Amino acid sequence: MKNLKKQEALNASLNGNNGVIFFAYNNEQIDYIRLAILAASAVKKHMKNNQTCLITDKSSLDWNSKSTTSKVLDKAFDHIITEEPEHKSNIRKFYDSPWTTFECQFENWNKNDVIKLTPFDKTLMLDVDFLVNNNFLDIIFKLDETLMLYTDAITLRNEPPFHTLERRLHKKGIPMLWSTAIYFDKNDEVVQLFFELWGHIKDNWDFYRYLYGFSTKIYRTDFAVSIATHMLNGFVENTLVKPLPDNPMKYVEPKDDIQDVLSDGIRCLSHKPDEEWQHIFVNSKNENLHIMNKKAIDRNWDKLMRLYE
Amino acid sequence: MDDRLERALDFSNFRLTLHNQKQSAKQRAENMLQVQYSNSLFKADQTLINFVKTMRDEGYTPFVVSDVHDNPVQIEDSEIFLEKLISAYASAMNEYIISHEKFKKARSIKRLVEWE
Repeated sequence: MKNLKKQEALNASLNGNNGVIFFAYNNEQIDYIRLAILAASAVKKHMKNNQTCLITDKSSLDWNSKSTTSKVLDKAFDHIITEEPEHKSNIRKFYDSPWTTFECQFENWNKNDVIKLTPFDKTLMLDVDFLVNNNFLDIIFKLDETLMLYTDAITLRNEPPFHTLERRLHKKGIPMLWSTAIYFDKNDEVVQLFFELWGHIKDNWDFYRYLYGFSTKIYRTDFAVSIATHMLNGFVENTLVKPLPDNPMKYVEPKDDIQDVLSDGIRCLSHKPDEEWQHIFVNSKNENLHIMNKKAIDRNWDKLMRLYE
Repeated sequence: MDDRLERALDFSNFRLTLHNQKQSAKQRAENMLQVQYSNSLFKADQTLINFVKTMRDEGYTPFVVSDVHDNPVQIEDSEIFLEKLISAYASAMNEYIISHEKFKKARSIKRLVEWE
């Protein structure tokens, strides 16, 4: 871990020990550190609580030293923590537009360990494909709430998710909460309980799959946090975890694409879920975006980096 | 394709894109209305602004309002709170009307998504 630099010390004194954390474990298809650099640069540009931390492993860092310079990495992150993941099989199907798919390992087994790993008291954990494009999330660090996440999401077409499994764990199941962005205060007892329970659910994934009645075999952290919240809330619908201020989360679906990066936003192509060959253009400006098509981010990485300079 | 149908479908696409961009602008304005005060979150809508002003004008200080999560919050300094609400409301609505005016003038998808 690197020492605090002057600017970070200043931020810490102004904003308390707050920061944003990213997990990035590369696989054979996706350079997650490259995506994390972009996401952290967006945080640095738009947020005041902009100390950043990367959690990764040695092999990803080694690869990154070939794909980007250490200067870029150092500029994006104030802290780098090396933590080896559990390396359990978790093969996931990824989309890049409606026409291209690929499968590869998805390392998300240790996301619940963030409470032990974070160097910050108040932490916002973001997925590396979540791009911050405004300062709305700064508000959360000044609230009494100790645990917040996105409880709802909308597509680029401003519609709720088309697929049942992005709304509920199954057709008649509990609502799905999103683990894309989780804010927490690590010193709060309920928060500690939440992360402990998340770990327990992960360790007994097959049992909880059966109990909550969903068929997907891959380990999904969205589902794990939804179950943990449901259990901690007395097995009724969530009133425990409050939504983030810009809830619902806007997301670019895996079958959508980035058409171009503008001087002040991103122009996307949004597909129609029931007629996938039909698209509309959507200009996204000043809104936080969860871009699930990671290949699209990678294709436009240079242009997006310029947006966050 | 019949020209009449082609023109109608072009307009249909334009309307869909226009509606979507308007929805996004509205969503942004809604988000900009959020105000943090006394470790709580409020929405600076017209109702809250009027209520706070009424309570202040009638000399009820401090008084209690519900935040966006329905928690009661005691407002100690109504002057600062009102100022924050009005400032957030003005910023959000000014940006919203600028976007809206731009959309009103756009007559093509290319103009809407700033391709030209």
